[in-house]
Amino acid sequence: MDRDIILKVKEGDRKAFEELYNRYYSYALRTATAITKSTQEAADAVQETFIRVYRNIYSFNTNRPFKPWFYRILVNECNRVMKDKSRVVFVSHYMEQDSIHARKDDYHFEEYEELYAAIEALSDIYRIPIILKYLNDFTEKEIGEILSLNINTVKTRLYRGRQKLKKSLEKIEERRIEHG
Amino acid sequence: MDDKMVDEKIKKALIDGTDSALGLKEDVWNNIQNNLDKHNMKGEIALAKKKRKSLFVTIASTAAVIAIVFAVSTEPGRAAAQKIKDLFLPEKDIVQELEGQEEDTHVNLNESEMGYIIYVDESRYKMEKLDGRDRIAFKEELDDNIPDVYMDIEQVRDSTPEELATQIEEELKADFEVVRNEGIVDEPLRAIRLYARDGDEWNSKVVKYYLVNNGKGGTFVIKEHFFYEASEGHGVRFDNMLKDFKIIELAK
Repeated sequence: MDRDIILKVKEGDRKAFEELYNRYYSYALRTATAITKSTQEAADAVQETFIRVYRNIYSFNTNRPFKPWFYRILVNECNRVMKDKSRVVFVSHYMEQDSIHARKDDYHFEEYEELYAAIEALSDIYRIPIILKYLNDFTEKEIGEILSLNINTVKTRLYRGRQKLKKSLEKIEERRIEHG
Repeated sequence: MDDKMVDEKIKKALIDGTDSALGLKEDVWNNIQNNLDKHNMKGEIALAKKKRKSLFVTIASTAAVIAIVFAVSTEPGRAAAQKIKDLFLPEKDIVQELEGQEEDTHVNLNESEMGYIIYVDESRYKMEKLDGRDRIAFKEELDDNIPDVYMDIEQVRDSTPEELATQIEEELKADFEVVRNEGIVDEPLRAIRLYARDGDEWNSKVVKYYLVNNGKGGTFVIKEHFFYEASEGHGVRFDNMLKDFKIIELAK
């Protein structure tokens, strides 16, 4: 249970904090990578998020769920690092991962690669809710709380973002058929 | 392509696309550890629990407190007013994003006797002085079934933001369905933020508090009041005004 760990972290228990890190690290870094489009900036954002969590945990109300609170801080940190650092043209970082490539057949790899590129090309107002929903399984209500948006706005943005991605997928499929 | 398949493909693309980042786990943890050790944060947490006031010294230092020191002791009010005019543009144009659309907005400088300045969109809102507080209120008359739209600013000199956060959170819990203490935020300004809403209807009342350290052990209490459907409209407009909220310390 998050609550038990958080109560210990509130007491300054570093072991409990490490446990919290192990529990949240993986999806926090995936989320930050998808938002910032940069592994290094994502690492910075995640690092600062955990430091802020540790520093502000005393103000966290343990009767409320921790995950949306954590991700609100994470999204803010992602926005901060993106604002702070001059951006470079994104080069798909998973191109470096030859070991992963080798395990996939070419078509499916290309399909997911192109779909990921399509996600990255979405404007932030669609992209960030999509990332929170599909990577983290947040509900529309939780996404609204994390991004301080009303639920109808979240629904609209998820719907439009998804429609754009569906069109991209259809184009990928058409190209695949054209090329045999 | 059916919807379920689209969902599965989006999920898989995000997982595959972010796999490479996971190898940094140890490096990130080591950096966090170093940072915690450097700042002896275990001590900070313990201190925060006993003497929470100290944490907000940090807020005060970054809360855009501007000390205006003037040598002329005569007519201090007029000199202060002139100094403020010299420091800040009396009016300016800003670009704000509302519902994904950019909008050019003209804003005017307003100075408060409480010791702060703020830029107000005077085409939509008027700033008025009420009993012990300032109100930036929406100019249009709304139907009776719609909560009033305004932002109140007052100064509580003898309570810290954290003390007030606890007190206000308890009061909100008595009246609102959803209450969140969001802790310290940096946007639109450095403050403790509280959020409360009395339901999920389009006209459900929403209040947002920003508790800003006044640099002297007290707090500027900023309360936004609007309705749920207006979260992306008035809510964003109020937040954008707060980006330029600056505390002015008048010193003789």
